Parts: sequence; structure tokens; C-alpha cells
Amino acid sequence: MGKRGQVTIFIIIAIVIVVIGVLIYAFYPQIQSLIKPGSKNPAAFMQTCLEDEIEDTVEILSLQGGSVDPEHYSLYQNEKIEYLCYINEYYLPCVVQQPMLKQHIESEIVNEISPVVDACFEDLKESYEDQGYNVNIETGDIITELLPENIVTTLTHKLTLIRGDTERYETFRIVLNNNLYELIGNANSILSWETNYGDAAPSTYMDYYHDLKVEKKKQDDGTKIYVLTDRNTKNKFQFASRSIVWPPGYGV
Amino acid sequence: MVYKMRNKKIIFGIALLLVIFLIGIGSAIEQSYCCEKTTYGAYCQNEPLDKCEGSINPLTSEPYKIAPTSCESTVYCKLGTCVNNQEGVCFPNVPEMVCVKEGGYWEDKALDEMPQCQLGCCLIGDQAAFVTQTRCSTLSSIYGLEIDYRRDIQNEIQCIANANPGVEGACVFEENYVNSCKFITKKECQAIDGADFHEAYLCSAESLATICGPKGGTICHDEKVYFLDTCGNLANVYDNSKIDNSGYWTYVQEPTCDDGSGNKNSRVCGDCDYFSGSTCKSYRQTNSPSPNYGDYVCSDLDCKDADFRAKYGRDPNHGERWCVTNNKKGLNENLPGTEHFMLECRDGEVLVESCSIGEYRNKICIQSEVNEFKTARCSVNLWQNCIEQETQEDCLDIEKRDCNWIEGFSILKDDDGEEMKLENLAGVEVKATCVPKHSPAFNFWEPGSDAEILCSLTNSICLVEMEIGPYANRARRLVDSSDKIDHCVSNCYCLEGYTGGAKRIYEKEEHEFDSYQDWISIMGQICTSLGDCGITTNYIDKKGYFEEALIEAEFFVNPKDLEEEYGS
Repeated sequence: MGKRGQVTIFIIIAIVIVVIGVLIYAFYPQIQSLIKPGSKNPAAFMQTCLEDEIEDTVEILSLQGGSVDPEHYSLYQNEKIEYLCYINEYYLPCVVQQPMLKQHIESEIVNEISPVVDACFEDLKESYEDQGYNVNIETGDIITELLPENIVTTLTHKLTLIRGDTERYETFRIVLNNNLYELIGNANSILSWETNYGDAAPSTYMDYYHDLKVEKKKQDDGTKIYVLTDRNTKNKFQFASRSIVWPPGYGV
Repeated sequence: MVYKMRNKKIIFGIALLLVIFLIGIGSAIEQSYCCEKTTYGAYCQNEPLDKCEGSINPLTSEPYKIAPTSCESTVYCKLGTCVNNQEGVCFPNVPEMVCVKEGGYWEDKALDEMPQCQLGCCLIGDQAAFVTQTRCSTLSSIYGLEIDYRRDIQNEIQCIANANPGVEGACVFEENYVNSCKFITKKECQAIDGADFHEAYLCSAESLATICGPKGGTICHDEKVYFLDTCGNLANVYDNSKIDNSGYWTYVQEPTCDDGSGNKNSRVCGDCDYFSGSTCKSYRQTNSPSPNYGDYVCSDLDCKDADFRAKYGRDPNHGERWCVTNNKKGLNENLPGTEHFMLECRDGEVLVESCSIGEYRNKICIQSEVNEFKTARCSVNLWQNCIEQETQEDCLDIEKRDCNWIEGFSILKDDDGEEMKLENLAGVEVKATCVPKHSPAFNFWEPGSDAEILCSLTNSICLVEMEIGPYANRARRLVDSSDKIDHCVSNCYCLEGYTGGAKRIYEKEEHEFDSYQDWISIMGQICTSLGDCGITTNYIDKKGYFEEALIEAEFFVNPKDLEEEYGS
């Protein structure tokens, strides 16, 4: 075969590849959405738009005892760490300051991401309108749930896309792999010990849960900072407690 | 003629201490308010008025409550039990407002009076958890598994022992016209249409004639290294010597390659044991040698620690705990500034927990060992009532207190202000003091601390009686006390240079001290045992305020002068 024959074959192959590519782009929405997120997959658009925000919020919450802006905290390594149990006096067990920790964290996440959710829906709307869609968004609720190994945020916003056909989307779920649920369970258990005995033994927890690292850092005022770390995922949760503190001397 | 030798400050022991203690409590109550919320954001604390938050509580649209009483006596800060009905978690010591503001259910009852807070054994799948019934139901809905809640099991260990993993075996079923197999429980197998369950068989068993065969690699499971068959099912624990043993690929068997210490870094055995210091990890992610087969080994969890090695001649094992202090003289020397720490080797890392920081050595580290395996704990230092003890038996009662017994001087005084005699173990009444075994720390640098009061308990007046010889010269009495001039007849040990022996012939009675040095030493021991007191260096070997005992001597010729100044 001569040089001209080879060139012809290459041209034919190239044309075939281009045609296949165009067909895939035109007929497979999943593939299309991967290439151009948002154009056909609002769920993927919202996941991409929100997951960094949720991840950042969860990290802040985890390092600050479950609050984005802790009101009553102990300063440890430049972090404001919320007291989940506290007593200002000597000898007494602490008063629990946050008994509904899971719900509190869930509501903190919702409060923090609310403006970003609105902004993401605005971006989504603009993106579809640019493509010639008529877009209608009915605002719904934002629900965040801490679950084993996951943090799931559900948006009950209703999205309608009209361009010839009508497409409706009723819920959007953003899933973040995170062990905060398990860490909070252990934090609650430590708090129970703090209220009853004024202290908790990290070794006991590590003997039970081999993937969990528990560190207790005592401060000069009798405050304890507990740092819980999942050894596999490196997810962390830290909080402060001050309970049954002994005074200097007889404490007169 | 009488010598009066005394330290500069004279304190009347316990009596004065109690007076001050009562004053302290009285004044605290007078100034304290129960703040529903403090200005610094805490709920239900007793604080001075200026620390109570006066803004509007968004929950009630009224100002946060303040009352000139203890929170214990108020309705709004009464502590009860808060139930998180969604999660099935209960907390004691919660004020009502704190509980309900995030949707909790509060009752004015102790936790053990709340039926919904009682714990039982939640058997869920092949796992078990000692939780409330609500929590058990929550776990069931989360994991989508059936539960069996057992109230009759009343402790966590018994509960975990009841976890039933179910009988496992080879579950053979037809898939795509071939015999496929899964190594699962009988219950799981029964859910597969037309499947046959072969209890205690492995899928690689030749007799089952499935597509699964031996040698499909290894994997970490339950912290041990397991063989996999070619379908990816679990087989037995990795034992290189049995890799070609058809029996080992047929039935479920216990491993026999265990070296008794967790098979750390073994190339041939995957029978790891967390409590012996090993767990399954990929050798690529650790410094472990590669195994003879597969990628996983029993990785060594022991630690490297130079200080431990220098002291005990080896590195610490996983799970070992030991005590250290920041002072170079060791754990038994509680010099001012000394802090106790408990170190623990865990998963190859030495974790540090401070026992005493912020607690003024009211918590200390206690170390013990079994077969050279060290164990330690941060423990409460029960020193507070040592000096009140009147018998050696009570003093050394380790169930109730951490004290030492020192004979020679008594801090406790009788009604006449004389040193009280205490009963030793032999039943003999002696001058003695029960002192803290681990001396506590004081905040002596802060105004208003009670360090001065506590330290001054060892101050004492020693009355030395002298008889003047015929050649005595008034001016020479203090500088020359040779026998010809004058001689000491009682409490002579308080005179510097007194060494006992010959001089005792003049003395009226036996006493506790053989020499001046002996007296100074005992008084010093008592003094430094009480806390950050007396003549001592601190934890970094820096000298304190006093380098020698403060001794002041006064000379009285006429005992009436003495009585006038110090009473009878």
C-alpha cells in the first residue's frame, strides 16, 4: 500500500472517531453532564457547588466543639473550642451545655450553608437559562443529617426545566463521607463520664474502638480539651469540658 | 533561764485554718448570683452579679434570669435529665432551658429514675451495643437490621459477649450456569433462592465444586490477615505453612501459627492480636517486611521512646502506660513546679496525658507493673485530711488517704497549745505528724492564696531551758555554753551544734531528736511534705526564697518575761 492509501485510512479513522464522539455527546446525557456539569444534571451541579462548602463547615465545626462561632470556649492552639460541659466552681461536676449535640451540629451546618445553597441555585438557574431553558425554582427546606460514615444534606427545592420537554427535580442530596456521627457518639459518652465522675479515661475508649484516638489535654484552669481522631479517615472532633476541678491548697 | 527559739511566724494550726475556711465560704455565698446565662456564654453558673447576662433570652423573649442565690435553689437552673428522643441518649446535670432549646425532653429527675434512659443490650445483626431502647431502635433504622433488645443483660461486657455473629459457611448457588459461592452466614444464605448452605466449609473446598479456588491473595479482616479464595471470599487466617494444604482451604479452622506475642512483622503468620501489639496493615504503608504471600502483615504497634529506653532498657510496648514528671529528681520528689504526666504507647505512638496541670497536684500519676509490663493512671491525690489524723493506722489507711507518718514533731496542738501526742502502730503515744505522701502544689504567687497558712503549720516554738554555771557571764551566755558556765537541761536539740552524747547527762528527759541536724531535718521533711513549702529547690533546680531554716532566738532570764510576751 502506498503513502496515499495510508493517509486515506488515517483520515477515515479520524472521521469515524469524530462521528462516534459526536454521537456519544449527543445521545448519552450522563457522559455529556460529565463534560459540561449543570447542563443536564442539576444534582451533580449542586453536589459540586456545595460539597466544598459543607466540607469546610464540617471541618470548622469539628475543630470548635460543634459550633461555627463558639460563644463559650477555651482557647487551645489558637482554636476556640466550645465547652460542652462546664462549671466555674471547684469540686462540682459540670453542667451540660450542649445535650443535643447532633441536632446542634446539624442546625449549624444548615445555617452556614443556607446562603451558599441560594447562590448555587441562582448559578444553576443562570446556567440553564443561558442554554435556553425556562427555569422555575421553588425554595424548599435544607435538612442536614449526620449518619454513620456520612453527612447527608437534602434540599427539598423543586426545580422545573422547560425547553420543549419539562423536567422536574424535587430533591437534591449532597453526600459527604465523614465519620462525625461516630465521633459525636464517643463525645457524648465522654461527656456522660465528665458529668458523673469529672473525668474520662482515653485508654478505655481506645481499648474498645481500635480505630479511635482519644487525647486529653489539660489546661491551667482545670479545663480538659478532648481530641477524638478517626485513625483511618483522620476525621477529628474536639471539645472542652471543665468538671470536678480541684483548687490549690485547701481552696479557701 | 530560758531560751526561746522560734520561726518568724507563729500560727495556731488547724484552729486558724478552720476560721479562715469558714470566712471564705461565707463571703463566697454573699457575693454569688445564679446566672441563667453568664456574660461569657455559659449557662447556669454561680457568679458575681457583673458576670450575669442581662440581655433577652430569644427562647422566652424575657431577660435571662438572675437571682441572688445558688443555682441549686432556683427553678430556672434546676438540674435534671435531658432526653434526646431522636437519638436515645440521656444526659444528667442539664438545666431545662439548655435541654429544650434544641428540642430535648427534660424531666426533674435523676437519670436512673427515667425508664427511657435505662440501658440494655441491643443485639443488632452480628453486633451488640449496651444502649437505651430508643437508641437501639435508632441503630436499627440506620443500619436496616433487625434488633433484639435484652433488658435482662445489665452490663456491657456481658452484652458484648452475647453478640452473635451467626454460623458462617459456604453458600453455594447457581449463577450464569456455574456454581458460584459466597462465604456468609446461614441466615444470609437462606435469603438467596436455591442456595445450599455448607456450615463451616470454605468456598474454596474442592468437594463443593464451585468456581472458587485457593490462593486469591490476602486481606485484613477483624484486625487479622486472612487468605482470600479466587472469588474474593474470606478463607482462614494467613498461615504460609498451609498455603498448599488442601484441608486448610476446605474447612474453617483456627490458626496454629501464633508465636504468642501477636506475630509482629511475621512474614509467615497473619494471626495478629491488637492487645499483644499487632494489627493487620499493608506492608507497603508501614515499615514492616513484606510477607511471603500477599500484601498484608501483622504490623508492630510497639513504640520507640528514647527516655523510656534509657530508664528501663527497652522500648515501650503497645498498651503500656507509665508516669513521668518534669522534674529531674523523679516522681517521688514533688518539688515546686512539678507536674505529673501519664504516657501511653498506643498504635506506635506515645500519647501524653497531663495528670496534674491545672489541678495543683491534686491529681498525680501512679505507676505499677505486672511482669515488667508497666501500667499507670492519673489518680486523685487524697492528701487533704492527712494532718488531721491522730493515729498512725488512720494516717496510713490507703483506702482513704495518701499520707506518710513522720515522728518527732506534732503539728496538732492540744488545748494548751502543746504538741499533741499521736498513737503509732505499736500503740505508743508519740509526737508525730501525718503528712501528704505526694505534696500538693500551692498558688503561692497569687495574693490571697492559702500557701502561707498551710506552710506555717510547721512553725514551732522551742523552749530551751539552761542552767547557769557559777562563772557565767551574761554577755557570753549566747556564745559560750561550756559546762563550766552553763548547760542545757531541756529541748537542747534546738541549739545549733548540739550533737547529743555527753550533754545528755544534764538533760531532764529523753527527747525525739538526737541532734540539732536531726531536728532541722525532721522539721524540714514535714514542712516540704505539706506542699510547696520550706527550704527546697524547684523542679528546674532553682533555689527558693529560703536557703536555710529561719531561726530566731530570744533569751529570757526571767520566765515571767516569757509569759508576758507569749502567754503561759
